[in-house]
Amino acid sequence: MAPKHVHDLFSAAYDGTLGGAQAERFRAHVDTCPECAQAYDVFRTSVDAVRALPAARMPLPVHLPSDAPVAEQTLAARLRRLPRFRFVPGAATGVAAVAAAAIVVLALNHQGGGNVATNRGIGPNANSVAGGAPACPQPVPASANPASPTAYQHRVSASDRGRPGQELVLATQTGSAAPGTQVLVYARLSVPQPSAGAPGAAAARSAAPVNTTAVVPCLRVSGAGPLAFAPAHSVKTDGNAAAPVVPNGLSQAPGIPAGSEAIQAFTIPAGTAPGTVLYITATIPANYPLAGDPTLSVDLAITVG
Amino acid sequence: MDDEALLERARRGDRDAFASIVTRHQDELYTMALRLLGTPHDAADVVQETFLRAYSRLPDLRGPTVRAWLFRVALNCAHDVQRRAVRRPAQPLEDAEGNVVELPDPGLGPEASALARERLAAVRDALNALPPDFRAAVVLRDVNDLSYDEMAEALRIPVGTVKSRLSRARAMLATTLRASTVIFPVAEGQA
Repeated sequence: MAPKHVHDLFSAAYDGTLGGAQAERFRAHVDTCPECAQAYDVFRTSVDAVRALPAARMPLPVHLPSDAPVAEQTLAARLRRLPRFRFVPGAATGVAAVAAAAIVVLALNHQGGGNVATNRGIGPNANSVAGGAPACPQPVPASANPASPTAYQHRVSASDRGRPGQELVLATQTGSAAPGTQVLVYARLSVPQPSAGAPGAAAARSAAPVNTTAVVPCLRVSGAGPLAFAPAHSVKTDGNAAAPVVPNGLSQAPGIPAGSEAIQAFTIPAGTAPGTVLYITATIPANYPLAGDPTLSVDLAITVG
Repeated sequence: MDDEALLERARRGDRDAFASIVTRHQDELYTMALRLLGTPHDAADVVQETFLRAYSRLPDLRGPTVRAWLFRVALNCAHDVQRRAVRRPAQPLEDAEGNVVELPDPGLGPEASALARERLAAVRDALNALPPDFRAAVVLRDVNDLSYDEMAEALRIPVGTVKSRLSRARAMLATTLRASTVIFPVAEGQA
């Protein structure tokens, strides 16, 4: 047996996976070849040293999303768990409320009189928008281009067999951001039409989509360990010039073309330790926008640096 | 209750079942990430992100075992961290006084403890000297004691490739450690 061939058998011999005859030949050679015997001793001692490394314990509690992963939640539970976007008080809030109401109207019109606002698992939350909290999730007018803005290169997407044709996209412009800075988040579920929201839609979902409409998902931001942040405010852009929904001008951020649907923002608190990983989770609850749709969510990590 | 049963309950929305999976596997995933990446902070991030990804992808879970699937997700997370780590310096496993934070056994005496720390550092350095794919093979097999089949699932490579990669990785590791007088003390009279 050539030494090179013997050395190639060291790993299998160590694991005891050599076949009977091969194991016997290996043992016979090592017993009579001092060079191979010494080499195998070094090999075995080295692997033993790795195996002797102490086990470690996870030093931090694992933080999990508050949403149930798959199961149907009660309506009350879902409403209770939906994140609330905190609007900046003042005139901007009023502008946002009026404009958000306009979005709902546009969405209804866009559906050709369909009842997006009523035919879904969670209500349109138009009232809560007027009351200061935006809808979550929210319908927005369809876009001719369902692709995310080009500047949002740090992206993930998710789909589900239970949501044929639908795709949830979550993206930011970069994978890292400094403490105290604002992070713009693009989050959008594209839904094939004409099925979205129409009565009897479930039966018609196999129809080839003519166009897509969009839904702004619920967003949540959490950090490793006990860190948790709520979006500071909602910044939505809408391609329809008749209904600009831009309470604070952030729609002018680069890379957001006309026709973009869903840009939201949150601010990383000053003092957040560099290296902290924040997890942005976009969630579309079950039965939204169509009865029978499963929960769909996707995570995107960004590093504070 | 085994992992598969817990997984089935977690898929139906049982958070406690998923929490049991976390409790069962978090330490071994942390150990793997620590040996792959070398820094406790990054390793903890990997474990956190692994379970977040697992939680959001429960409906898509495939694979022979939950354990192998979790290791696969953790390896992907670790690769992401490794890519980010290129842009920032590695953090040593030592505190401000230069003491190795990771103590093998608090019951050891001072001399034995010092020797154990030297051995730990030597093995850790030898692991870090391996290419990432080879390091992953050694860690999965010799640190976490995964079977060849579990390794194939976690690494997404055939079992034959697992064996050959592990063989080469162990050989490289032995070549590096052979020069370590901590692992292979020089007999008196040979120095």
